[in-house]
Amino acid sequence: MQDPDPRTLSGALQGDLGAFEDLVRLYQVEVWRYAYHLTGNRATAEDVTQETFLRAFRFLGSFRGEAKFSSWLLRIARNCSMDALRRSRDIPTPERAPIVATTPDPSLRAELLSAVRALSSGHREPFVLVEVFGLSYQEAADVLQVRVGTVKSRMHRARQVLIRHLTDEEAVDEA
Amino acid sequence: MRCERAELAWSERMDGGRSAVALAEALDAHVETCPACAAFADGAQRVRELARITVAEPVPDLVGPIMQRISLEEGRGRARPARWRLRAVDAADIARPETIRTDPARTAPRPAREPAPSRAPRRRPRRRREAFQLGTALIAGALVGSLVTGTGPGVVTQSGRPVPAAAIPNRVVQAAAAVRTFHATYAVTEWHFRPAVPVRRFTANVWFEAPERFRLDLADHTAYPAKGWAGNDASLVVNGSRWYRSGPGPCPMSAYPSCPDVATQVQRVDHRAPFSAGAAVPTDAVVPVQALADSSALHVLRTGRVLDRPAVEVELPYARARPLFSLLHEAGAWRPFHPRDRVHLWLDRAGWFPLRYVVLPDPSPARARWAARQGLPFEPASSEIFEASATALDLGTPRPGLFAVPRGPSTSEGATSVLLRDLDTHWDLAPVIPERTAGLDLYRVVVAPDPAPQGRLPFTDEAVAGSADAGGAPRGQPPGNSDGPRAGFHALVPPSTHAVISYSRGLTYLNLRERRSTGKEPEAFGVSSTAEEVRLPGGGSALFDAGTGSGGHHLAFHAGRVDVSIESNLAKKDLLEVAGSVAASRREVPRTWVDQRSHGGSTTRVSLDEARSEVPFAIPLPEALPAGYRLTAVERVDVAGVRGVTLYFATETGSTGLRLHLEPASGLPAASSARQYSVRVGGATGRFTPSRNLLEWVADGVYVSLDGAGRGLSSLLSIAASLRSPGEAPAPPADPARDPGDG
Repeated sequence: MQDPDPRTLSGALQGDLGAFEDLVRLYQVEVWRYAYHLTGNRATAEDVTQETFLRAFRFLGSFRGEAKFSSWLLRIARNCSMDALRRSRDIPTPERAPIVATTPDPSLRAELLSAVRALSSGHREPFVLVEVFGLSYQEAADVLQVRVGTVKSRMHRARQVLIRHLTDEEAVDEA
Repeated sequence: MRCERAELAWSERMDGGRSAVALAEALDAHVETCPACAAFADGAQRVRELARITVAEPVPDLVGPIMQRISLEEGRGRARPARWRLRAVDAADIARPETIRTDPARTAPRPAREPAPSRAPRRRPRRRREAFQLGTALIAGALVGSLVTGTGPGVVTQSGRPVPAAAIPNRVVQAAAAVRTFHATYAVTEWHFRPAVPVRRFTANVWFEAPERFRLDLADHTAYPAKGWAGNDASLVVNGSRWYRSGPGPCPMSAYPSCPDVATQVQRVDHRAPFSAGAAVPTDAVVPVQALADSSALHVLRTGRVLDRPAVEVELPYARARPLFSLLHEAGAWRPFHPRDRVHLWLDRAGWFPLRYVVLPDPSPARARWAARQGLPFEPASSEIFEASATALDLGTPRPGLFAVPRGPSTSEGATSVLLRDLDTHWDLAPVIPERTAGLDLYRVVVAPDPAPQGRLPFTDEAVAGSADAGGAPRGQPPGNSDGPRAGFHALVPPSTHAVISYSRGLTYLNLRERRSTGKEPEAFGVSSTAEEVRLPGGGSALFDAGTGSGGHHLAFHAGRVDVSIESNLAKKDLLEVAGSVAASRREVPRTWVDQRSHGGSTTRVSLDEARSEVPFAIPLPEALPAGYRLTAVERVDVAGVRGVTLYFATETGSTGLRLHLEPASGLPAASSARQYSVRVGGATGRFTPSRNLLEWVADGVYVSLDGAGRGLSSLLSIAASLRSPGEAPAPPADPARDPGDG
């Protein structure tokens, strides 16, 4: 996730709606994708995305720059996602990501995504943040409010599980 | 360097971590020489490549709605209610379900702005624009409201009181008992029937009047490319003891357009038994009791309104939703669906009628291979491949004559209606009558031949002349001419018949089937030999089989001179109450029902403790089973001098069962299929047979097999990994990626 133009961030912090809109444009896709990964539901991800930016606007004054703005924003998105899941009181049905026809082995990719969703939230969240969104361990730790070492070990564990899943699926295919 | 440390270091390096040169060199050297770590490195790279491919799902453009909310909040100084959303809609959105969601195609992205200088924000011009936008949205919203109350298939999502998935089966059952009349018209669309016919469109009219009047008229509006294509115009009419169906003859989808016979075929059945499975009524089209029986398979998506009626949307796999589609599959040819395809179903909150249902493809590799074998094109997971949307709903009394069955040649199910008070005369036995019937009313009483009759079938249209069932008989008195040739009739009844006393209320039914008994019949009456043995209220035992998608629950018990088999879509506890209210039921299940003998060996129903004392090996139990499964039966198996044990696991909602078999052995038996492959099961090399969903292995001198229809390898391995004998250490924490419930 790219960093915002410092002037844009500064303007938003000073109450410029136009600047804040630029931040929305810069991050709304990533926020939606992150919310979709957490909730597994497109409609809920839309609600979470809107709520995330609304909260970010309300509490922009509390952003001190101790972490990256993107990390701060994803943390809000994570909290909103958890709130949405608690409100629904049902285990969300993960919507399946569509198969990308132009990429090699799209069915295997779809199978990986299913396996990612089957991970426990403790392993899935760091994996999504680091592997899918490209955050560093520190950034992911800021979002998840855990130690860097925890992110590191959970990433490793998630990789082990997913590698084994891919290996089993290929064994089935080859049979 | 140990593998565990090497993998962790490799994982950290992939994520940008840096280490000392010496450590990095040691890591490289280890990975180069260690096959397991090299495999981890390769696998991690493949996971990264697959995970980082840009996903093509459409991401909505939410900038406009977000800024509108923020602008209004800032302008009014307070937060908007969470459920309020601003969006511009137009009439074209009404036909699509998600009319509140932003359509990226309709929200043009605005060009990037230059950073504003540090001064007070320019709010006044923005407020004028916002007010205009707000006004436009409100006007459009009013337009949406007025059109949705019309006859279009509009669906509007909104925040409402959520419905827990666990509560839905009970609510649906209650609604099924309450429904009296029903009429709905559906617009049906099917995609990818054949390459030359990519889309087909139909209108389906469904009528129902309790207890057993049903009608379906299906009109095919598809423009087929040539004359040889058989259309799918069809009709199904059920009126108590009469059943009629007309439609195109059977033709495999792959044979189109060269079907052998395109002429309309007609089937008629007379003397139909009450709630007959052979000439069934697709009642899930009215209230989907069977499709929604298992709450563990349901996921509540959202609430909203369909046809301006409060509704809730749920998701379930097609394998569970099949009864909902039996309505259409009554006639003609339809494209296939994979068991794991997803069905999104909108249900009326008051009556739990199906208002809209669509099918979406499952994106798994297995589904993709299945689709290729079916000759289907590529079907993205987000694209609907079937849709049925209600365009009208009417709960008033149907017009007279609607359920009249056309006359013509027919086959007979052989069920002759009689009066309850005359049953003992016909049958020479006092019938078993339950004192409690779960609130259901007496509907029909028939005498029917056994499935394998001893003599000729006595029933012809002439023999029972005057028994025409026009549905006019009052409740409590089955239709039929009780003043007919009773003596002659009685003489025609062969000894091997059984009586059916049927009760109903709405769509809920209860069939008591009774047969003469000596108490030593070699097989259970209407249930499988591996059915669960249950205790009845007040004493005695019975055998219970949970209903499947095609029928209700079955409960069988012995009552002196009569064996009774109850079939019903009542809940299990209600079924037990009904059976327990039969005074003569307080007997134990005959052993001949559950113990089987043959020249090759025998199976004997035992308790788990008895089995453990009778076999020379430990009997483990799975600690992790799919939701709702429990141990229902244990059999001791003696074949060719070898004693083993078989354990059966099932749910109470008709899901396919699981079977675990153990016996002493030193190796796997001969292969049972040409397509098998080796798998690791714990520390043993086992075998998986996909065609039989069968996992086998040998450990510590014991052959173990685990199978369950529809169970995939992952699910079976998870269950196998959780097997523990008494006194054995508990299983390690569950693998977060493994869910025993995965199909």
